[in-house]
Amino acid sequence: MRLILILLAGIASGAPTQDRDTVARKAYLAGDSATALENWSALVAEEGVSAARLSAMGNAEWRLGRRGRAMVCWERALSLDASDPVARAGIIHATALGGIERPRPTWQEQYASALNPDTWTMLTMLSFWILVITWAWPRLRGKKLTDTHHKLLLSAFTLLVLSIPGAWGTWTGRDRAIVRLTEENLKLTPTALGEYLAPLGEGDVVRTQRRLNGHIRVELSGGQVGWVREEAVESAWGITPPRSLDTPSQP
Amino acid sequence: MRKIYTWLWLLAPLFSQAADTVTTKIIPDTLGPGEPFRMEITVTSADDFAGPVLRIASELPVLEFIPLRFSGQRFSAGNTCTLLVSGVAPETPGEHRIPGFTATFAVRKVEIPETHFFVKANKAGTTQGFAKAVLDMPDRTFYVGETIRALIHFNHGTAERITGFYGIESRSESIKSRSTVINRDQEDAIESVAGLSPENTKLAAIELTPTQAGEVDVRLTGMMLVETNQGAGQLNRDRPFSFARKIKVAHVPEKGRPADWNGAVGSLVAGPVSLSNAKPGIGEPITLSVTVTGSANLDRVLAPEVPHGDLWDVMPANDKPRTIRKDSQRTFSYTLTPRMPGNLKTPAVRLSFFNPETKAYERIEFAPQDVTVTGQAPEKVELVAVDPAAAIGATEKAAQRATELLNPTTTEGNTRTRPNLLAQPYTLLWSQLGLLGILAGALIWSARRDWLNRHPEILRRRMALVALRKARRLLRKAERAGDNDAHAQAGVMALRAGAAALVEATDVALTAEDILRAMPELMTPASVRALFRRADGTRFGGTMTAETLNLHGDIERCLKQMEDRLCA
Repeated sequence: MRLILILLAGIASGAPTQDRDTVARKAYLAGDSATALENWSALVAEEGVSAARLSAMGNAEWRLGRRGRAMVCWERALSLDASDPVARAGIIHATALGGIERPRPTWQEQYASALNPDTWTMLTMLSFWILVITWAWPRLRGKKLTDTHHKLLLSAFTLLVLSIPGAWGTWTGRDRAIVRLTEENLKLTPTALGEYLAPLGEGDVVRTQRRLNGHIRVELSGGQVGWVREEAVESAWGITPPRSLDTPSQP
Repeated sequence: MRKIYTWLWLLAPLFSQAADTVTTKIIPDTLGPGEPFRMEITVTSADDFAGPVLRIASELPVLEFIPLRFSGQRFSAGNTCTLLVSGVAPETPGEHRIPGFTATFAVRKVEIPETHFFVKANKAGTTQGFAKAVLDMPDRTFYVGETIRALIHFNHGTAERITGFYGIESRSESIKSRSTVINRDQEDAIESVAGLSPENTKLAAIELTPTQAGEVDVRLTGMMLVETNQGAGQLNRDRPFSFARKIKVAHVPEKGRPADWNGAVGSLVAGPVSLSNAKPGIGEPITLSVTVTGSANLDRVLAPEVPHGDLWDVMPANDKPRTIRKDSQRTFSYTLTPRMPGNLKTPAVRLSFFNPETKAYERIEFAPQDVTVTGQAPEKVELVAVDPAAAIGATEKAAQRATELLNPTTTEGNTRTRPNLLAQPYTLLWSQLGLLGILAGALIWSARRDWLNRHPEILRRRMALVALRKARRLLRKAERAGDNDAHAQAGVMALRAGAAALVEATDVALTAEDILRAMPELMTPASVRALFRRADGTRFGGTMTAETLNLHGDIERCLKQMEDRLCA
């Protein structure tokens, strides 16, 4: 009896989530992207994000014409799962046919795209600590290194050498942001009256550098460097849906 | 010679300087406080003036208490010109001065010298019947760009009545001015505050805007129409008035200035918010109007910026033309286009201003309005497009694959709420450095332990030193208590503990002679032996009663020597 009750409770609690996902997918396939987005956003607020969910939200945002939000969704999906095919396809579509500018990845970033960012970080830390502890543990115990220790040291060192470019690519890949505003320009100086350098399109991906006076120094895909207002761009990394640009009321 | 004289006579007018004779006269001769007067300036020149005076009106000095106005000129025979200037005597009795100025004619400039006149004092208790104008202006530091509202009270006299005024203007370069109209209700309010009845006064208002910081001269001039009661009837005349004040003007502070401050200085209140349509369809533009009211430089305020949002497209604000705008309020209208259906709120409109009374920046916010947007969001972008340049077959396959990917049939996956490890790189870095520090500490501890294992005498000496010091404390305690037995026992314990580490023996097995062999440099061997006899004698030869407390100093010296050797 108790088991039946537990099962019923589980079904009851899982039903709305399943329904919402089903409703969202049906609405998306029927062309009602707004409803799909509404349901997926509610799911994210309830359960958290996943790469697949962010990718699907990116698709819906793109169909609604909100290019900035779509790119943020897809980039963040890739930061969670570098192999997510939907996010990759979305970004390829946006850059090839949608007119979105995205910096070419460096060789270490391409190397890093083979695994998830967290995997590279964990691999680097793990190999480093195996290396250190294998060297330190016999010394702590007052003993000499054995053949096993030497084999372990060699393996950890090899793993560390292989994982460092991946971690480095992950590190440089996180310094990217997406232009969110439709009418934004690259400026020469980080001031409100900074001289115009180049136009920025909504959804364009830029490499970010340092921050100053409410502005952030960015490098465009063409290599041009200048300043843009901080609120005009949003980081490519995160575990939340894109932020709202509507001016909120003060508390 | 005669030729030379002829030429000199002909050229003489060219070399000679025409001498102008200028005389000034105040009419009447004696003036009472506030009494109007006429100043006649007679200029007699050897040459023709070639027309009337050109610029005297703008060159007359502006004095706070002596308003002057150029009222005309007349030419007489013999190149004599009389300039007529009307003015009003100051209220203060005594001698007064009108500074010199320049009268510019068509072909020359004539310097008018300064003029002095005397104002006699009124008899006590008598009132004068002259009308006068009084400037009412706040006394504080003003700010660049601020709109200062100054009031001019025209007070009737007992014998004169002010029927009107005109031509009020500022003659300062760093002050912009604008005359404003005062409504009847405003006038009543102001007069009731000033404590003056409407029958005895008229009111004019002028808005002044300082354009530069520092100590700025405010110079106002104007004319009032005065009706004088005389025996034969009423006489109407216009009479000048002027004010000269110095005010302090500062720039609005940079500290605490909000990024969205757009030049508003004053005190503002958020007025009503109106919406042209609360239930629009998606993509249907609606108008959001916000009204700001208050006492500020509303003419110079730029419309608050409302950026585009995810839910709204916003057109830049425009406001009502100035011709139909009220002075104390301004309305900004934004055109909003909803991008998504549902129950939305309009974007918040915020306006920052600098309040000169509190000397701080403040902000007002117009409450967002509820809007119900109906309809369905239009699909703006086709997600899948086929590359026309691709090879036949490959295009279809690629399009099919793209369609599959861009139309996901599932969104299931591992959900997470934890950010990536490198999202907080410094937390990760410091935690790793902390672990490395712990490991380094463990390695140092291990190395030290190995070193002590290789040198056991160090550990032995340290332990002996600890035991010796402990026994010394007991020795001193026994000495203070006068306990001979305890004193001897503690002394022997201390000597044995110290010597055991030196000879690598067990401490209880050591005798006095062992200790003296281990420490041959001890200065008082007899005292050591006596102490041992007292402590151990009972074990070997009956009760011992020898005093050892008097040997305390010797034993302390021995123990000090022993401690120094253990520490070496």
